[in-house]
Amino acid sequence: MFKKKSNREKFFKTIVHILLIIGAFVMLFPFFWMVSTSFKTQSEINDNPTALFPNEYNFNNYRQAWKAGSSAGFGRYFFNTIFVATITTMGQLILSSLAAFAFAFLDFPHKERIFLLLLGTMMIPQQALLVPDYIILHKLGWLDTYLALIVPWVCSAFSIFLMRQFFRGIPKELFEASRIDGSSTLGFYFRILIPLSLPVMLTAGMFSFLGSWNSFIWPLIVTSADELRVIQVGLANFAQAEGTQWGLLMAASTFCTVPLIVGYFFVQKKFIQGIATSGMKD
Amino acid sequence: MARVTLKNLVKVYDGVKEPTIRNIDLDIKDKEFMVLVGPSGCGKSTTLRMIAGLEEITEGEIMIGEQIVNDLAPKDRDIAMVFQNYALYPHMSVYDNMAFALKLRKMAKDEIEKKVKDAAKILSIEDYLDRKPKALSGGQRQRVALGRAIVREPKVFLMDEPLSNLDAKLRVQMRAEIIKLHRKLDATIVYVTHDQIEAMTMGDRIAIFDKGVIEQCDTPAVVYSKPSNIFVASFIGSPSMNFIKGKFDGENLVVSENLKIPLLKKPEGLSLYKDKDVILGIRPEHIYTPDSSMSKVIEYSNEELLSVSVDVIEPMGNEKHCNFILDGKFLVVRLEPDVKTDYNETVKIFFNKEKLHFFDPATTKRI
Repeated sequence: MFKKKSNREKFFKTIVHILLIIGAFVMLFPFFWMVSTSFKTQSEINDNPTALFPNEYNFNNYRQAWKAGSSAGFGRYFFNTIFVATITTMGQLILSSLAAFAFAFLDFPHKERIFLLLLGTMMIPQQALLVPDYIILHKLGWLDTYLALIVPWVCSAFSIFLMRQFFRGIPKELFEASRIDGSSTLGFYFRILIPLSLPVMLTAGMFSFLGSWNSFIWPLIVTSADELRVIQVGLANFAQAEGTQWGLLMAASTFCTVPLIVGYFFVQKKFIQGIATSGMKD
Repeated sequence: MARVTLKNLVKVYDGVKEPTIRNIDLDIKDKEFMVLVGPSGCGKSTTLRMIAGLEEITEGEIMIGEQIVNDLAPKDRDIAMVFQNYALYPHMSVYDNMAFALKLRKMAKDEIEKKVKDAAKILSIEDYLDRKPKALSGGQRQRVALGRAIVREPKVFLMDEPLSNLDAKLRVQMRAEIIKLHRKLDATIVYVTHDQIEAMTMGDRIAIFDKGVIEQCDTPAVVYSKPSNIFVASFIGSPSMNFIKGKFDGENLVVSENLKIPLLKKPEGLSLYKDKDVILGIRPEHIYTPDSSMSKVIEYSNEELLSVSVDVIEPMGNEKHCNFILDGKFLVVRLEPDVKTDYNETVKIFFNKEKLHFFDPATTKRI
């Protein structure tokens, strides 16, 4: 009886793993194809389009792509993207955590209603906001500046929601104990709440950074100057200009994605913990 | 150290019609160990939290020492609080947990160290100062929570069910330690619990709460021997007091046609209740059989003996709790283990006439 059951379990586990492997393969193959193509010469691609591996690894595509990116070049795009993503992420972490702190720990009139309203904003599709947001920025005179790339994204309802859920798992007594100990409200936030909330901060930060790194439509419509271009816009322009130069395009795509993947590897464990933890284990 | 005075205290929560606290008056003396006890939802914790400044006061006044503290922030009230779930800061070591409040008060480093070490010594947690709370047992965490309060040397200690997360054995041990600590620190302590044994063993005085009012506030001995109403009588004491309703005919309590309980000692006020209903209260430990050793000390006549049948016997080792049936009603009696009681046999019992309590059925107050 016992053996039968364990055999059955083994069978199901095997099936699950086979499915997972197929899934992983489907997900990873385009990346592999991108990296592999980025090392091939144009003639190699033309001669044998389905070859899995390049004949030899040549880095020419990378060199050329890095310089080719029209006038400003990928160096500038990288700088812009990192700059914008960093400021946006920092802004989001500070503002969202403060808002989430208020929603989780403080009492104020209509707290739940305001929170629902905030959640409601997550249901408005971004496309519906493009035009009104554009008009607002136009009136502020911010079009074609870093402000246009940063300010609309420094607060996010999703981060507030994520952090508030995490904060609610932190016993309220800690807040009360710190108040009796002599800490101010902000003192609690800095000395106790934030140190206890690193996983969720990392998660929210990662979401924000990824979102900023991958954003395309918004930077495309609010900036036109080449020096303000971010990576995704630069890459799209590059694809238009060098559309048939697959080697170059894949090289550019590779160096635009690799930094994120590497970064994710480092924080992966905490990241998942941040999503999974709803409370505090003491 | 200071006294704490609550005057006409009222708490009404937003969106709740009924007040949680109704006009409470309580004077806690300097260096007194005051226990607030009652069933859950009775308002004892709310009262404590109002003293701490964690809940706003709807009406009334709280004074700590000579100062009205209604509008003072918790940190300015010079109090320390111990929470049920310890509320230790998980990312700080034991030392830092205890030093936190002192650091915020900008105390000198060596002074902080001295205070923390002294408190750690009192609580015997010196060996754990570098550990995080996660690496401590429940009892050790509770000590750290106490330590965090002690280093502050506050005017008043507030404790909100500090022992209820501990297992039974540890709870008894910590109970004794808190009593010792109170003697050592000579401090004013306000202690909230739902456990009447904690209340009886620890308090200089006990305030018994029910539905937002204090039903009685007195020493454990008085609360036990002269409960002011039926609620207090049934809340204090385990197993709880037995209540028998009947008509007072001037000499006896007439419970039914078959049962008359002779009342040989009557409180003065009882004469006003002639031919009216009264409730007789008798604690399980004040009922004996002719076999009980107390039958040699307490005089009784045959007239006083009542026949009961046995329903359940619960041997506890040092004593046994017997559920008897007296005229169709349950009666809990605590007997010595070797007193004979058999299922299916009638047992004769008598009440200690000095220990009878009488209550007015309409007001539930003591007569």
